[in-house]
Amino acid sequence: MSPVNQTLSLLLVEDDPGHARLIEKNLRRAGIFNPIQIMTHGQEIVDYLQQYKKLSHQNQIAQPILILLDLNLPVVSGYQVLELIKTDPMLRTIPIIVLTTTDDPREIEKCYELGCNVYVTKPVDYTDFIDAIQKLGLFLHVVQLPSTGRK
Amino acid sequence: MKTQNFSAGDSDKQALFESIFDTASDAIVCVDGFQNIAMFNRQAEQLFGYRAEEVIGQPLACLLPKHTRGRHELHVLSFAQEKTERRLMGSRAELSALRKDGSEFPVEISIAKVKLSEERTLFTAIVRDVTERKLAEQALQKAHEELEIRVEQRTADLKAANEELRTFAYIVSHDLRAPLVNLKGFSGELRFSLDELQSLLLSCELPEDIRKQVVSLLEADIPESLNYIELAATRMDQLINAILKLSRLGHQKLIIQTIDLNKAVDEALTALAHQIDLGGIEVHCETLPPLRADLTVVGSIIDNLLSNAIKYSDPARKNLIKIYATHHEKGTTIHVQDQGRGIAEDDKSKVFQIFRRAGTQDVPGEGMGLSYVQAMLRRHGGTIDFVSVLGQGSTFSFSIPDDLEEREPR
Repeated sequence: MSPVNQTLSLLLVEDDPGHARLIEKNLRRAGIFNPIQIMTHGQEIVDYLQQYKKLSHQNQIAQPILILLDLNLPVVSGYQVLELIKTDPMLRTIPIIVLTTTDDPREIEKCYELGCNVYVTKPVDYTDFIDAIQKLGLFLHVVQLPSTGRK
Repeated sequence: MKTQNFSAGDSDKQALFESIFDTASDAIVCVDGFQNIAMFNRQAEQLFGYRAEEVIGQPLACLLPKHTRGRHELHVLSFAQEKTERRLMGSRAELSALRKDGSEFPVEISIAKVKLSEERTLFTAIVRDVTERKLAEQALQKAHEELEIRVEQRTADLKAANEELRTFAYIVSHDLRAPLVNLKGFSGELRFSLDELQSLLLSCELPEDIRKQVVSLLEADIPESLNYIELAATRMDQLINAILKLSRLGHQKLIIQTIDLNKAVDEALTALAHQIDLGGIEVHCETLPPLRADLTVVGSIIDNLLSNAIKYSDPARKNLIKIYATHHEKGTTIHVQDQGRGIAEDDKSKVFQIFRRAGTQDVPGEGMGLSYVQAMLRRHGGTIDFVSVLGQGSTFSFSIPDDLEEREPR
């Protein structure tokens, strides 16, 4: 298996530190060794992306990123983050994987409508959870990412 | 009017007439062909506030409010031309009269004409004050309107409360799920660590008694604790999923179509075949009529009722489950009758409550089925009921109304 683009940074937006830890552990088990940055609420990622845009403006090469987004976030909800990114011409190509406990068909539809790229449900059963994250890891190995951070 | 032949003289007749005229409980006003008042009885005096001698010879107009005078004259003229002899006025249209003191009041008038000669026609008007009736009508009308507003208000309140409850159930169930992911996840992680620890420790040289203790801890005590944590989390997850399922019910659209109940029952029985065999249960299903309903909902109800009948069969005897339908003026009722353990009197009120399970708790289940069934039926405009005798069995019967296509899904 070819290693995932080494420069790719994973941004995990997750308010539950337990979940964040379990996701991280299982991504590592799946052979994903890219840096994972954990953010605990929606505002944090919004601020980060402002900074990211600034770097792009100055024609500096920002690190390509992929966002793993939980929906039930304090301050700024996952939906708001999703909408904000997907309606911003400079940010919209950033791949977003929604990773959440919700498995309601309406919520899933809403996320795709807002432009999320992949929707993954966090199963309560840990065997299924590991399985889901491992598959997500495999997916990350093969997925083609857009070149971001350049104008 | 027919009159008996009195053998009395004219003066007697006159006295009789005057007595009737004055003791009549309605006001009577007679008008001549020129619309002048010719007779005015005692009730009329009371009603209008005039003495007879004040108004006799005066134009009728003095008893009518200005704004209705023209209209009234037209009435009288048209009535004079008509062949009919009497007419009721004011029973539908609003008609009012004028008292001496200038106040108006609503009236109902029945008029009759008497042709005395070719030139002379007399009009008799019996006037009834309908103030109280009008007031009562108005009050009734107002009460109706208020009731309607209140019903609308209550319905809106109920809908809002219902929606709030659903949203609450939905949010709570999602928020409750998140900690479970951790409980299960970190139990799993502990198991992984335990395995590693085990291989590490067992590769070390340990004194025999310590080794025994370590093995006991690693292989019995710790896994036992982990098991309980995981079981509890699993159970909690089932309960949350059950609440979620209930809260989602309201959002599904019902598709009302003609469905084949026999097929629905067959499918349910096929899915339950294993349990039926295991329990040595005999199932007898009569031919069921077609039904207009949502297939998924009815299938799910039949599923629930059958699996309950199987679950709560009495292991001590041969069990027969009967499925049959009855039709009545309001719709179709489907009955699932079992010879299972039955429900005790004290437990009957808990049957449709969420998470309640009556009787001996020796069968797995979340205690969700019947409250779910009831909620589904409610949306369908249907009902569910049961009769049960402890130790003899239960019959659960659900009804679906015939006029489902005209019903808005709730």
